[in-house]
Amino acid sequence: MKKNLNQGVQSYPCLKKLIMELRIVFLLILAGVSNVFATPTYSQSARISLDMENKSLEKVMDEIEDKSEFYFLFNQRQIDIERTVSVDVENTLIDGILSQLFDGTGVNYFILDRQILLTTDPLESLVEFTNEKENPQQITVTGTITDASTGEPMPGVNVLVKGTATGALTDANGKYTLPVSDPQNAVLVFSFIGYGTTEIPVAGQTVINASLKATVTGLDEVVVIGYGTAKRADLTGSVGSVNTDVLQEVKVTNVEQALMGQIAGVQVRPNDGTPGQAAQIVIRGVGSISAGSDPLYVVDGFPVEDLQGLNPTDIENIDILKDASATAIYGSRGSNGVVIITTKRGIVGNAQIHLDISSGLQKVAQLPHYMNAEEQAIYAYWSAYFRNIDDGNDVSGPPNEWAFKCPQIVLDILDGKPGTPDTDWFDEVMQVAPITRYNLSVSGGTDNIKYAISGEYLDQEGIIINSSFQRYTIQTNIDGQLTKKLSVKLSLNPSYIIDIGPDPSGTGYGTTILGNAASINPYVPVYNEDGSYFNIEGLPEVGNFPNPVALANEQIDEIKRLAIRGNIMAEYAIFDELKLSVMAGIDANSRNRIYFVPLIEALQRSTASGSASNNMGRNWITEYTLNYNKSIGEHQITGLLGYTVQANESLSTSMQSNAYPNNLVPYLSAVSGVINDGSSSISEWSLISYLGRINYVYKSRYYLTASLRTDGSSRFGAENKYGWFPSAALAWRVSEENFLRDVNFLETLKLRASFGITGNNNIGNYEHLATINNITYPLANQPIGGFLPQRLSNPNLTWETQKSINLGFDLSIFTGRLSLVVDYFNSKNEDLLLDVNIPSITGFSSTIQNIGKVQNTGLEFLVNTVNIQSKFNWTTDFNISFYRNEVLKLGPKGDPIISSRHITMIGEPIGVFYGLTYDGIFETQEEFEEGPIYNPGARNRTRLGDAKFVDYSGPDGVPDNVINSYDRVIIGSPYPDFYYGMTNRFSYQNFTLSVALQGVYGNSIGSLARTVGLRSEFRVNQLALANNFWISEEEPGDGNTPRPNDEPTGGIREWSTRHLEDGSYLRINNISLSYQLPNSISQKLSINSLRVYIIANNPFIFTDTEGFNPDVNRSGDSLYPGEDNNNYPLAKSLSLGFNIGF
Amino acid sequence: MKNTVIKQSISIVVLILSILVLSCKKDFLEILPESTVTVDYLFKTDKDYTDAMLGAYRVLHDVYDDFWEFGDLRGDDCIQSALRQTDRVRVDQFIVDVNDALTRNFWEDNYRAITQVNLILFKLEEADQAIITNKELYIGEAKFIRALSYFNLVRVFGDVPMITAPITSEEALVTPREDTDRIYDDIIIPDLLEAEAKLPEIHSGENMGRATKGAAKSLLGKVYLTVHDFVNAEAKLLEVTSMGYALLDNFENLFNFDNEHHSEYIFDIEYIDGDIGLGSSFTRDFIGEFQDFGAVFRDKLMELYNIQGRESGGAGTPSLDFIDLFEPNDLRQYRTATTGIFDINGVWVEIPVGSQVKAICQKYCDAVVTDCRTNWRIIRYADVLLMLAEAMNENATNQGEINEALNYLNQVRTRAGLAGYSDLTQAEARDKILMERRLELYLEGHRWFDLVRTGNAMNFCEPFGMQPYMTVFPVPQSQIEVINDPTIFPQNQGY
Repeated sequence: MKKNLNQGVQSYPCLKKLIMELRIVFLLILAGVSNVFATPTYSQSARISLDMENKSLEKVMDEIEDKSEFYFLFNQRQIDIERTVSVDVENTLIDGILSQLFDGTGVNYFILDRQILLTTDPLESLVEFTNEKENPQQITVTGTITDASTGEPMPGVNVLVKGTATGALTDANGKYTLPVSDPQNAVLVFSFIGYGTTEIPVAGQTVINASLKATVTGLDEVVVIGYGTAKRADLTGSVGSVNTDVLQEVKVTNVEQALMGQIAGVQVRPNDGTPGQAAQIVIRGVGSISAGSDPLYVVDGFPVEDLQGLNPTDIENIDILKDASATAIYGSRGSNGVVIITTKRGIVGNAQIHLDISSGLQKVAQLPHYMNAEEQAIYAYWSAYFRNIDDGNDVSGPPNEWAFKCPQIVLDILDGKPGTPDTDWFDEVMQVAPITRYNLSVSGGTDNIKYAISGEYLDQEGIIINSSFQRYTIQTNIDGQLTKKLSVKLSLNPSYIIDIGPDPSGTGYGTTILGNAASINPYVPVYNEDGSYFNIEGLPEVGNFPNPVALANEQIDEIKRLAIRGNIMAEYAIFDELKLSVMAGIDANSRNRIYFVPLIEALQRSTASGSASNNMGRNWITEYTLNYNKSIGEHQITGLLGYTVQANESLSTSMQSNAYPNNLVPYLSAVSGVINDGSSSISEWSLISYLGRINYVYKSRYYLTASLRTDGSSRFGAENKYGWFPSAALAWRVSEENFLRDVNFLETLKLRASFGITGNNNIGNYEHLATINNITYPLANQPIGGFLPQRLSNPNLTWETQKSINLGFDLSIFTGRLSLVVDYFNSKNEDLLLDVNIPSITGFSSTIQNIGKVQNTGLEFLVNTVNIQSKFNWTTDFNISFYRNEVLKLGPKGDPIISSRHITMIGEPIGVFYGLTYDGIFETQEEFEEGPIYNPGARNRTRLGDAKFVDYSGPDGVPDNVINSYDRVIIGSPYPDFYYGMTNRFSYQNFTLSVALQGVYGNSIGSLARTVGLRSEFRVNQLALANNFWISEEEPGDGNTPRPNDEPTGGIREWSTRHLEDGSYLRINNISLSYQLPNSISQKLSINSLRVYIIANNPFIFTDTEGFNPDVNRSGDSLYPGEDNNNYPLAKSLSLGFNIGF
Repeated sequence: MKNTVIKQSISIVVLILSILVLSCKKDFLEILPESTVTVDYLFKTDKDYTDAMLGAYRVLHDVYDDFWEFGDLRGDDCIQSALRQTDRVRVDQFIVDVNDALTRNFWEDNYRAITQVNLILFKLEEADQAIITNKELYIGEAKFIRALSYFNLVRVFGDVPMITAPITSEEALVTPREDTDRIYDDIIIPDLLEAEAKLPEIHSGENMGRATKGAAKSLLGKVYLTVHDFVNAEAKLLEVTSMGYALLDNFENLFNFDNEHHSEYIFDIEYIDGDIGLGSSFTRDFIGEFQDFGAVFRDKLMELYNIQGRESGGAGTPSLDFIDLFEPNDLRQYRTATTGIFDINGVWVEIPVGSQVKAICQKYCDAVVTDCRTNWRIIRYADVLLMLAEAMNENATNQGEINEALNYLNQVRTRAGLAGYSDLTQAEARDKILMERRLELYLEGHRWFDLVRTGNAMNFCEPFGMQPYMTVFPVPQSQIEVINDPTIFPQNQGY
């Protein structure tokens, strides 16, 4: 049999060895005259007879191989085997035959034993070639290839010795056997479609196992696109994906966190560290002023309200639809993007049982710095001092006899009197908290029935004392092929959540744990000597703050939530090309909250009070879709027609009482029926939709997608009941064109363009109706019911509309070592709901109208690289997004919306910070005399040592050297210039390491915490950054910190740049190290697989921010973005765990 | 055989489909809110009108919660002690800003009340007396509230838009400010005359607290006084004196909040305690500042009134000059303005030296500091007597008539434990009446309006920063901006 060296993986393995053995021979050839040489072995004894007239060389060679033990080795490019030859010999040595065939053709032939090598190469190169290797030897390497995520053996994997044609395929058990000639230097390359290529140096080993990872950007990856799926290679829209590997790496407690930093254009902000709390997701910028920016979540085809009951471990992949061609199929709910979640389903095979247990500890990630007792005492002393000075009081006497006294404890601390308290209130309300997760999953199936069942228990304590989160979930997915044509899929997800602990966020005087912990001066103890809570009230040195430790420990705030989400889908193949699907689902949940504040002196309430509330939600859907899929030659058409109906109902009941007789029973049963307030209400919406989509592909090069949806909603006014949402997209796989075929390094290049119209229907359920508020008024000292109108009706009220263009390309080069996805988008959001001011003589100050317009433009880059591919592997996924938000139109007159610290105005992003510009302090009398002065003439006017602000304007539009509301300007943007995420993955043998980070750059944070921590009030703990303050012209401090003054002057409490912080940060979200036990060992342990891992979440952050967390957003209100209100801090955590497979 | 099965199943699916499609469609998208109702469904029964009327009363809570800032703080006797409440400091110091919430809310709240009663009156036009049996009563009540609201508006802002029926926002944008005189002539006075005719003499039992004939007459008297129609004022107020009202024997009894509907009560904004959102914030606002007082005085004060909770306001503070105006032995002084208290044992405790708050008014002090039951008095009989004295004095043409006027004044003085006046000149009497109003009615929302009404505002308030144009407040900038047409909707001169 002829062996063609350039073809096939099963080329001849012994060639090198043979050639090497001939080294001496070749030296002789170099010196000699003959171009023929052979060792005197078989070739010297075997004689052949041939009689062939005008046959092709190939035929002759076949004949020789048939009649002898010889066989030929050659390169087809060098040897013309079609050449016609004639041979007539009898019992001739092979040498003679070959000389007849090749003499004068330029072909050299070498015979060694039974092998005949034909080549046109000059002899010198052959000599060099044979000289390359010093110690030739050959070994046989065997091994098993497994899937990195499932641990299952992979048949059909291509194994190749790098730089050679030597290779093999794995068998059904994932095993391969391969001879390797240079075991010290050879490198094996493992590759499989849809999986990352892995290279492992042989290094003398005879057993090399490898596990392959599915590639995230693999072109054969299936992407869920809403009412269907598509191969990534065939996508026309912009869709980002996160698959199960990433979810496994990061080990998050809820789904939203898994997306942090993973997808270009998707900003995930963990702005609240409350256990169980979802991170906020904003896809491609904020496109609405009042209707929210939350995306639509679709779980297994079911659009749901939230993801609370979902266990991240059960998720197979998350696809995020970003551009309008992808989202328009979701119509009036698509404009904030769509997050499509697919849970894991069973695959054919034996039962795979996995038990995963991990346990860890959490600790607050970052703390703001407040003054300690001594620093605060110094501050308080001067604060009292300057208050007296301003009032013209005498300060020559002892400070405890000043007209406005300096509190005794301050003086004690300054005197160094022993035994004065120095309480670290943050330390008192926080703890190192354990977290444990248990997950058991079973999957498997036959051709007819497949199943994936999993159960989870998550037990997380919060880093604020007495807060915790527990979640029990079950996910059951069953797929049945009932007949050849009929299949059924069931997904069922019951969950139960226990959420304990009051919301600690807040600033200033109040009843919040963190607000008070930040504000209480360290001079007071947590407890009295008898162990009861110290009552921080009525003290001259500390404000009246309910004791935050008591707030955390003694308030009861418990939410229990039971939810069941389930849907069933039947698919019937009417023809092979046409399938009908019917889906029905229900998402029902019930939430019960008990809240109780006991009567404890340190809580400073006059009564024990409590409430009980109950919510029940029900969301059902039915959906009918027809899918058509047909290929005719080079044309491929897929079509979709659908009809879906969804309705939601939400019931709530609440009651409260302050008639608790004691602190013993927190339930309302204790109050003997004395209820102060109670309410029950219902809220509903309904939606009817028709949808259609068509995809056309020609020659796997040209793609066209068009979709159309119409939504009718109960939320829309009578004049606008139905909305139409079309989209179209084109894509061109340029790399498939002939003119790019020969560009070897190019794997894929696809250009994409799309346009579409989507909507945002989060406009409230009844906003178009003139509803009433029920009120009471006391008559004869009894509350009597009545009503007031709530709003004016607006029959025109409708969804907000987004018109969006997306242009992008996908590029993959160097056999996928580098891939790049670039998208540019421009979205115009119109008909935004705005509270339009109307004259109050109508009885209302504003009405909601569809009037605003906002534009988002952005550029997104996603880069995946395989940096090192060998025994040690290193890959990098990087994404970066730039976007700009701009308000194009506001109310009828275009007036800006000023929302206290923010302004929303045409030409600027929504809700930028608005206030005074801090310009240091008046350090000297000369500076002070120049001004500008705040509130001249008044008690709180600016004085020497006070803050200086920039005077921009005055009542007449020109600077007037007076600081007032005319000097407020835009002082910062809550939106970053760009945000980015990067994941680096390393693997070495059975170890894998991944490091994921994310960051933002260029935004400002509006710190409500600073409005308190820098308010210059001596009964409130101040931030340490005010330590170096102005005292006199001789002692100006750092030149930037005004004098302390308990009755502040100079407008120091006005919102200004002093309350803004640079929000840029870089956070290591996650470091995950895991070790997969080698199969050989796990088999000895009678288990399928064992993986142990250690995971650090949020271990490091690099930022100048003073607060707990730079990812802040006090409220979901777009008009108040980026405010730090001491939200529940983020934890950093370290967890250990293992995953065992049976 | 197999084909038939398939065909059957297709038919079944199609059938189910079409049933679902068809059955779903009808009215599926028409969801009305079940836990509330739209206005279209109301005003069908007599009870609906009562409910709507209570809505209007409820708006008066919002109108009057901060009314003292206009009536008292702007005047000369009341100072804002807590300087952190900068809006109030600005009212006190005559530096109000066009954007201040106080004026914006007052504008909005009065027009909310007007809108509600306009809607009621509009619906009543079509109402059948046979069904809406209390139609006349509702007209009277609605007009009383409308007149009261407009009276508030013109006294605070001067010219304001005149709205007497429901209007659309488009109409509102072209509605001009109307002359104050015309609002008095076309709305306030006719509305009160009609209210007077249609309201009952007295509301008893469960309706106690709603407007009465006496309330309408008294308010009308005050309106006449304000427009200097002293003849009508005297006549109207005299009518009130024969309706059975009487001063309480003891000034202190006015502050027994167990019974606020006594013989001196004419019309109040009603508040009740119990944490159901129907309480007043006056106690908290006016009690002084606990942190400021220091523990000793604070604890005595809390003990005295059984105050729970320790938040307090530091507002409504009487000036020390005002305290000096009281004659010795004036039984009202301790309650009205004091620099210390008699504690529960009757021991005098002084507000500590160095406190920001130098004096307090105890007229609203009650057991609970937030959400109190203390009513806001709009008109009480002492006010009527003093107004009557004022009107008679202005109409007097001889000493006898002046003395007759002084008799009404003396009723109030006598109760305060003071000697009566007689034989004063008209000008002296005018001053004494004004002074008596000042002492009797401190922190009840009168002083500033009295000063303006009598042309005395500049005399008394110039030292505090008042300028001549400041007899009215600025119109809210929000309204100027939304209408944005200075020809129909200018800002008040000077602002």
